[in-house]
Amino acid sequence: MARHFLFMGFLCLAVLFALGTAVQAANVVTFQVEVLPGLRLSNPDMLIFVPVAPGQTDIQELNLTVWSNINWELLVKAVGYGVEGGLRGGMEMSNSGAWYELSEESTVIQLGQPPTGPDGATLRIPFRLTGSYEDAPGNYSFRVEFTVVPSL
Amino acid sequence: MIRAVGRLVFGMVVFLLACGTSEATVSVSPVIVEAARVQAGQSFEITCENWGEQDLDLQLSLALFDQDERGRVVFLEDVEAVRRAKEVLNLDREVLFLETQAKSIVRVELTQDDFDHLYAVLFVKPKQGGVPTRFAVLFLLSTSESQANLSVSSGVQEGEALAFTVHNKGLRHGLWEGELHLFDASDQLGERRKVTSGVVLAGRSRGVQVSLPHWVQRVEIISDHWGQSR
Repeated sequence: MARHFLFMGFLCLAVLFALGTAVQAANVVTFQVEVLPGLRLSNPDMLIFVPVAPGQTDIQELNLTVWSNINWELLVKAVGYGVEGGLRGGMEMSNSGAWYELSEESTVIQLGQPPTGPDGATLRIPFRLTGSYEDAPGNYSFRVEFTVVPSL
Repeated sequence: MIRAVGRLVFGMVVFLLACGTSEATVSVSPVIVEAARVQAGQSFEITCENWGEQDLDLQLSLALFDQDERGRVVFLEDVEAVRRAKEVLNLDREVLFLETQAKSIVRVELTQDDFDHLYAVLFVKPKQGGVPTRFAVLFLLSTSESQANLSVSSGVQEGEALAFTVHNKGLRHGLWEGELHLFDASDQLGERRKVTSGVVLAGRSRGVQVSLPHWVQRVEIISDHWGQSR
């Protein structure tokens, strides 16, 4: 009889333990989430150069803020620049301390940049305009376009 | 008098180039879409959000892209590339209007699957008065079930740098992963270093450069896995 009670006691304890485990397991919730690669870009408002005469220069900085959770690159190209009837030259941009003439070809100016974190990365890109006797007086227009692209 | 005219002309030129009205902030996600075994009719969703204080139009357009030997993205925006991109992908709209603080979804549908791999790009361009910017959303699509076929050419060690090239002869993109075994002057293994190539498109090669410690005399390149897809 005593052995029977002992056996029942163990059985009850086992059931209670199993129930406790089940309840504990039921409280565990697995979250499965996916974070997608994303980019955010703050477009600069304006960039105004002071008037320059041929031979004179003016430098202005363009501020561009990028947010990214992946590696990224920034490309720049000029549209309608250096072509027949357009401004032939005189506009340069600085990259890593050197000045480069703007080009109609896409040029990588930020290569393999790391993820920015929540504060983003603000780029300060200097542009330098030099007046030239090569360009006849007149109105010229071209666009400078920035493209932000994920790194492969 | 002539000098004064010159000053005026150049001042006007640049002002016309870049003058704008207000700053816009836009986000786009995902900016990389990778899919294998794709089929015609499949569609992909890109979310665009206007974080600025003014309503905004986003101009949407398609093109193709490639990769140069350094792994950089090269856009193919010529007439033929754009035609091919439009032939295979269909945008549900070409202009997306976004109210301030609003977001919307652009749906890109695959209309054909007559390719092994397709590398297309969706440009998302805010139409606003400031300096023009655009986002590039990369589509790396393949109809193939096979993995990338990656191989490594022998490395060249020059001083404290190692350069080698990863080739992908497969039908889809992938990235090479491996280990560098660095040996010292007594030919003892001093360090093992994990290395990855980054994505290599199908049929393309990509150079990899690694800085080495000064004591390294010999390097072995060991491949971990072949044809890893990202």
